[in-house]
Amino acid sequence: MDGQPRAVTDRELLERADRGDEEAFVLIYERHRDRVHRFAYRMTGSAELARDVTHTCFASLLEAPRRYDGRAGLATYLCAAARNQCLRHASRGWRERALGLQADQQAGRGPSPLEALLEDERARVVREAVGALAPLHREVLILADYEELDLVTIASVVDATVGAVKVRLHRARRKLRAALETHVKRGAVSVG
Amino acid sequence: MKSDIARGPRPEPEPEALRSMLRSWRAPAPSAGIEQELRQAFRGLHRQRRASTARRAVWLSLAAALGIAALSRLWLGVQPAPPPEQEGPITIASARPSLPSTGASERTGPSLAGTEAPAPRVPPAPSRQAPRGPARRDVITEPGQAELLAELARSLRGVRQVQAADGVPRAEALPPGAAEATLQGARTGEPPEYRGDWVAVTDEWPPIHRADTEGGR
Repeated sequence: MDGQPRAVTDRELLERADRGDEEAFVLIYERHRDRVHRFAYRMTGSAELARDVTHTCFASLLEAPRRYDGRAGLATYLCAAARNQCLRHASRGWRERALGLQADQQAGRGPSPLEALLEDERARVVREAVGALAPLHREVLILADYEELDLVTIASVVDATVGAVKVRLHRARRKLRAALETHVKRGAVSVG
Repeated sequence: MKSDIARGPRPEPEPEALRSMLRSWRAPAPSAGIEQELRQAFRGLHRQRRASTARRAVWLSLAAALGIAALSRLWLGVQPAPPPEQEGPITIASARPSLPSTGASERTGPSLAGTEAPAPRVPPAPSRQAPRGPARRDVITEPGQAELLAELARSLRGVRQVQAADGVPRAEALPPGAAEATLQGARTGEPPEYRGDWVAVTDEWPPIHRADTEGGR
């Protein structure tokens, strides 16, 4: 007999939160905050903007929980909301501000200063290469290669067909490879 | 990191070298401040909801009370109105009407405000009774209109119509003790049937309404 308690679904937690259960809402936040924050950070390239986007996504879920109809997973819904927020920021020119100005704050530095320096440099190169992609290509690359979502889920998040997602992903990887190989050829970073 | 919906084909994985390069760009953890802000927003939102629910209950109660009051008024308005009052003697607000003087022919016209008159020489003014037929209200649109009509009535008392030589009818004061005059050409025989009931009305003014059963003059 399985003595494991049944995991509470996101929908049940959302209903409890709508009735006034604060801890239920906090549990929802803890379940999905990392993915939403990572996605927003890689889309905007800014920790500050990622914080704003994450806050906005969960705040809108709090104010209008009935907008989530339950057809897709809550993570998909939140990623789609984060995507909309990021595109909204993009239209205001965040990219030039964030990627050019902010030093990348890396978590988990290497043991030695040299390794840390190399790691920072590698991260900077990748950040710039990903940031150089068009938003439509960048988002599918992040969802596929960083968040490891399947194509159907990615299509739901970006509101496109699976075929369109495949095409965008292929183009994004091709451009990224070209950008990183350039850096590799220059000897700025070592791959592996 | 696993996807929340495990269905559909996964994209072709990147070569390991490139993937390890992508992983070098790590995202920072979300700050703890976000959770605190969301908790505050949650509490504020539910506090507002509770307050708005209470306000809504108050407004609903008020609306219900007003609706009931309005319905009650409407119901009372629909109730049949009480029968109209029978027309009684018309009272004139101003000075008590007095009888006209003998110099009625010298009058040029009715006067307005209460005019003092000498002792009467004609029979006292009978009380005006309600007209036959369905009761109806007199409509007095001006405060002095009733007085004006009373004065006019007084001025016509004791006056009879006579035919002058030129054929134009003239008003002539009745000599004292003269009988009531009738209209020239009025029927003096048996009153018509429709006026039969008027025979019973005696000493009623104006005299032209009284049937002459004794023959013309």
